[in-house]
Amino acid sequence: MTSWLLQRVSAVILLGMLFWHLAAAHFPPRDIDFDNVVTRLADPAWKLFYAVFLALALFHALNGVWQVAGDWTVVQSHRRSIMALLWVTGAVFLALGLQVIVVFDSVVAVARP
Amino acid sequence: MRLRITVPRASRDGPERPVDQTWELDVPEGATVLDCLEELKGRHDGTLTFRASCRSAICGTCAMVANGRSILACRTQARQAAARGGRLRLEPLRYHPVIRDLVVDLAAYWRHYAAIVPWVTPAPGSPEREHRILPRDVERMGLAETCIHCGVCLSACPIALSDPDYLGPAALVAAWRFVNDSRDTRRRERLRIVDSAHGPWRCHTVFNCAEACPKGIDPTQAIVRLRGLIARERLSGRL
Amino acid sequence: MLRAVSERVEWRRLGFWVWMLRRVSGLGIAFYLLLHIVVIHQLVAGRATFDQAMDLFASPAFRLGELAVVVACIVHAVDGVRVMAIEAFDLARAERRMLWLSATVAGVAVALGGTPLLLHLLGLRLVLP
Repeated sequence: MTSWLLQRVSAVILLGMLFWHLAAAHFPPRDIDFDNVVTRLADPAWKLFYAVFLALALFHALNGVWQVAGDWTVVQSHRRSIMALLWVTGAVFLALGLQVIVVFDSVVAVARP
Repeated sequence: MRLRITVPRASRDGPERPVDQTWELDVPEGATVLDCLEELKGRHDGTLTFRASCRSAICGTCAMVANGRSILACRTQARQAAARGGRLRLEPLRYHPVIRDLVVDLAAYWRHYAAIVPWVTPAPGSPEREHRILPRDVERMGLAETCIHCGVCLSACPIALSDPDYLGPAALVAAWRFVNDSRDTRRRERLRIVDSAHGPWRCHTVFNCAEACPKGIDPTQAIVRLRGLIARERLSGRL
Repeated sequence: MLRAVSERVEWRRLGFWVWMLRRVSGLGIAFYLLLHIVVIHQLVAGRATFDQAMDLFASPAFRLGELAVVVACIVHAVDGVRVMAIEAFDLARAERRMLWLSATVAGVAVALGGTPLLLHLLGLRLVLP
């Protein structure tokens, strides 16, 4: 039940956040370059937004994969292995993403001449 | 009209792989798939094996797959089931072992059904008056009571392919029916049984079952309502 | 004896394909998300690497992929909302009407969201007043 419920909760929140992200980043369409991403990610409010966005998106995506896996695996031990793999994947990619979001200012300081 | 009917001939005592057999026959325009089968068996090949009984969509015996769609043979017009050129391929229900030709062993279907405690357990002792079921309960059940256990819904369900332990639309409709029966005292136990990894959480609101059901029952609706009920009861601590 | 039934699953139904679209788009987006995280992580390597990556993604093949992701997101989101609406408001009986509504919303969204991308892909620019 938890998987089912959280998939819907994350879906609703992600929908709202997606619209916001699209409005800020992609419309009107323009070439994405270092500068406009930098401007956004330097702002702590956007940092928080993207951190939450990332975590929720990863959860929804991997929970979705878990649903598919659940349809196809019946053996308990297989299910446990897949669950573990999904959690590890989530943790790794969350870490990768958060690193960019959180660490950004110092990178900017290094990258700009 | 002229039809070209193909049936995979098979027997669990015979060779491993079924062998297709095709017949050409002329039937009246309004003939049902069952009419065609009776014609085939009567005049073309007496060894063709299929189940049928009431011919009026009440016994649920003649379920099968026609051109890829699970149907009740007595209630399906041959003209509608057939493809262009009058080609009709009849196959046994999915996911169940074939006994012979179009007859399958439905043990798995009944096992899923039995698992949800499909009977009313009233409070002990004799009541003063009859056991009453409230009109609002009947309304909430929808058409769940009219299920004839034909097995078409389970055969149409794509989840049953990948998960043989999935309770399936029919069992879940029955669960919904009994959970809404105010006379029953085993409601919580039943909900706990249903609330498993192979219960209503496996349904992905595909609606194949609702489209296929010959009695017009909407199992997807029952399953969605069942999910809502279990979620509310678990979240409020009642389950 | 699964072979007695030549089609292992009942795909000749509308609901099956709608579900397949939702599932395939979901898996596609999930895969893209992981890829996307890796790419954005290149930011940490500094401006030059990022700009290099962005140049790669300006190529037509990638722009087409970008369009595909947008369409997938729209399809997945619209159908997801349809399922949630059915669940939240007990609308299973209105399934067909909801499918029409979903298709319309998705169509409009794809037209609005996809056209600029398509134009961009074709090297044209959308000049807004």
